[in-house]
Amino acid sequence: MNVTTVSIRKFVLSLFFCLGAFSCLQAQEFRFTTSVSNNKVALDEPFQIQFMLENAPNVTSFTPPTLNDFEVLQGPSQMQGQSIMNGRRSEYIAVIYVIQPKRVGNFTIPGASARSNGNVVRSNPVTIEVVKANRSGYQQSPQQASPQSGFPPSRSQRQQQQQDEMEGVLRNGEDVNAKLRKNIFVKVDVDKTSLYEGEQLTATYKLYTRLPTNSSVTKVPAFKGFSAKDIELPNPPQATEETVNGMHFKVFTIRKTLLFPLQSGTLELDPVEVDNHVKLVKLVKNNNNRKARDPFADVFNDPGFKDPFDDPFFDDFFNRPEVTYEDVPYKVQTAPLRVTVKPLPVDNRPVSFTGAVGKFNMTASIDKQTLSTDDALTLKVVVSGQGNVNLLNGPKVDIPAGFEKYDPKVTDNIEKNSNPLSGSRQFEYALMPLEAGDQTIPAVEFSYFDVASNSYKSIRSQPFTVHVTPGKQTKRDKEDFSVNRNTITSNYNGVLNWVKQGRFLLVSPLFYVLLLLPVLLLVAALIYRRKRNYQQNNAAFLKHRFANKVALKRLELAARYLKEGKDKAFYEETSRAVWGYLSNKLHIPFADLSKQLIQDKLAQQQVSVQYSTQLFDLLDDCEMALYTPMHNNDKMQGTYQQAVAVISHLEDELLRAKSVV
Amino acid sequence: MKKTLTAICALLLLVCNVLSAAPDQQQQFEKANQLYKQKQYSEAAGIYQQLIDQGYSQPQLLVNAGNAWYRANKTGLAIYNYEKALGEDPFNKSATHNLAVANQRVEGYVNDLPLLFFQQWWLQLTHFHSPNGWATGAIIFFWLLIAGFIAMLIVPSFKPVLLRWGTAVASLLFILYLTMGISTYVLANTHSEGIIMGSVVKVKSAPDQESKDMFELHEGVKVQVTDATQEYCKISLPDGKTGWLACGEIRRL
Repeated sequence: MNVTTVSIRKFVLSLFFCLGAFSCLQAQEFRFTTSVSNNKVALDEPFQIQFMLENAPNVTSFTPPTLNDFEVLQGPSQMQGQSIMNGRRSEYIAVIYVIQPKRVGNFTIPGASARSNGNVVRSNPVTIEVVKANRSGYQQSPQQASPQSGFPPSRSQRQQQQQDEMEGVLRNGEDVNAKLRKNIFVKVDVDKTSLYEGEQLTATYKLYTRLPTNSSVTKVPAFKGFSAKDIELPNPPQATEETVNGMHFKVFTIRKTLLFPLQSGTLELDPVEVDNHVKLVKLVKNNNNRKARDPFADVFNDPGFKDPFDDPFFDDFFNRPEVTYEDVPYKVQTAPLRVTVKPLPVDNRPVSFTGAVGKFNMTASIDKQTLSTDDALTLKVVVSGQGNVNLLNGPKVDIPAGFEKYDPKVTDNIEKNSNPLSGSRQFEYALMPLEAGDQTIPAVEFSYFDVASNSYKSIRSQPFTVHVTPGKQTKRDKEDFSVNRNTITSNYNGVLNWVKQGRFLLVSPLFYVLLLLPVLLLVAALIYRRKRNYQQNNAAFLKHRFANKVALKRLELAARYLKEGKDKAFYEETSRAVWGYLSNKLHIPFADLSKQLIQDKLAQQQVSVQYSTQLFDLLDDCEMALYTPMHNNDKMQGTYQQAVAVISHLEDELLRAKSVV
Repeated sequence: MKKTLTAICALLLLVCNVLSAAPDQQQQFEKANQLYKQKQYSEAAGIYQQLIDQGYSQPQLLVNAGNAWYRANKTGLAIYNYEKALGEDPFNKSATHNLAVANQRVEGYVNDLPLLFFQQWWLQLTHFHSPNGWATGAIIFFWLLIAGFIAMLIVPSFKPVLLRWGTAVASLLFILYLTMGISTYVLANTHSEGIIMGSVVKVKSAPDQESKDMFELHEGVKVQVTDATQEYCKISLPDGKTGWLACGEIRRL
């Protein structure tokens, strides 16, 4: 133990030297951890315990824990270094012991304490399970067995430590699969295994590795029965460090997903599969004799202290020949995980509940209070909060009949990479007022299931009153989509009058024949009329022309009666001859003859009064002789001469008058 | 008056036409109706079309044919038949309705302008009688006119004022009937309108194959044929577009 304290003192001094040199560098994240190479060891199996101070400024003292139940085989040995990762500088100091348990049982090694920057800091305690020796089948055993034969125990422990810390070195006889199984695995973390439908579940798929590996995800989970929302991960993936059972693992997050179960029951999270290509260093030859001494070792270590760099790896590094690299493919997948999804309680479920689970707030607003029927109104409902925002259904809005409602416009505003998922969803309902007047839009109600209080909660907005004024387009024609509007009518199934469309009558000969027929009739009628007219006209002409002759013929008859002495017949005949002559000559029907008429006619014809008086004297004589019979032959002779003279005079007069006219 | 005239007209037509075996046609018609009910639209349309090709042009028959073509997705033929039916009877309600429905299928259908009131009146007047009815009327009034004349000539003493008025009215009516008869005949024998039958027809700027395409017309569009060469017809649309296309693509009404 004396040797130990001396070496610690020396070690601390050298620490100071180092820290003085690097004091200008700002420490990043302080960590003081205890780790063991193996926390389940056999009784006579040596193992390594390491106290790691990372980014500790001004370390002034270091006190290791009491290791009463263990035998210190080697140590403390110190190691220090710095690394720059992603532009972040970190430095570390490690103190390492190789110890061997003395008894079987569970032991807790308390953390070491150190004074950094004047503060005392402690590392985490570690539990070691010590079992009976020579247990075969345990992963670590074969790995341990072979190097022990060729190397002194202390050396083998150091190699182990180096291997864990730095690179995957495969030693002779080491089981590759066992080594891989121990050092690489994937795991799915869920924040809960029993939850309500629609409640958020965060699933994180992580790759744990202690070996240099080139990994690719070959199978991503499908998440059947869930609505999934991935959280964006940094690319390239950033490694974090995690200690599992005292062993350091580099942890890469493969996938982090927010899941919302869509159905109740037992749902399974699909495994994720990762293909790894592990780069292992294979030691072909063990060379114990050659020892390359590190020149720095003398600066930090006294001759009694074992050189920390004195190990086969560094030998190999400088001398090369015994090392080969091997690319080992290794496929890992997570164990399937079951999650129990409870249905949401049915009791007290509000009518307005549409499936929102989480913690929400709702606001509703309209963009205008007064508008005309030509305008549109927008009812905006914003639901914000935490929960299944991406699955929110719009709250039911009871729009009065005086409005035409259209499907809402949905706008999402979900915070990126928020966990739990939070954000807002906006529903914009466009409303077209159909009637003027004061309209009231009832309050908008939104309900959600609050997981924290295990109950339904409802939020109600204020009802809105809108004043609608009549616009220009007061009455809009509603489009008619009634049943028969867009379908053709049914067929006519009755009896048809099967008559062909005839030829056009207008162009048929019949038409013209029928038109010509009355024209012919008309022509016939015209001919007939003309004929009749002609005949009528001709008779009058002849009468006029032969009036003298007729009269003379009558007078001849009268002359015979005169010779025979029939005075009555004579006068009759003379009178008739004169009257007949006048009738024919003056175109007066016999019946209409009167003295007055004849006088007018003669005056018209401009017959001199001398002749007309002669005529009327003659007529008077005849009448007198007829009604006072008195046989006087001379007088009869005189009357006859007078009649002939009157007729011939009249004839001349009328002819003259005609020619004058 | 109208009834008697139609009766006379029908009588004349009966005389004019060869009395065909009407029950046979009715049987065919009913068979087609049956096929239509069984949704065998193409077959039904074929039978209707046969009857139409035989020279029957009853509006009901034409509408039924149009319906069958419509159901058989031959929009162009359907519209053609509906238009024909409207040509026979412009006030046929089912033809008007079905034409409107069929036009909904026509791509690029341009609504016809509604008729102005006097056009409406003219349409009603021209369809007051059939073309042959107008001609018959003209003959009858001509006879009356002539009868009046003859009466005036031969019997001058027979109430001349009444006769003169009667004759004047008869002559006016004769002129009206003759004019209408001629105009309906001309109307029925001008085929200035047509329906596009090809599904997509390119309308060219000039009547030859090489001229550039101006626009496209789809099946069922009604066009006005304003000019024609041997192969190409000049068309104009209600919206004022004009162009040339192959006459084979148009079926004249």
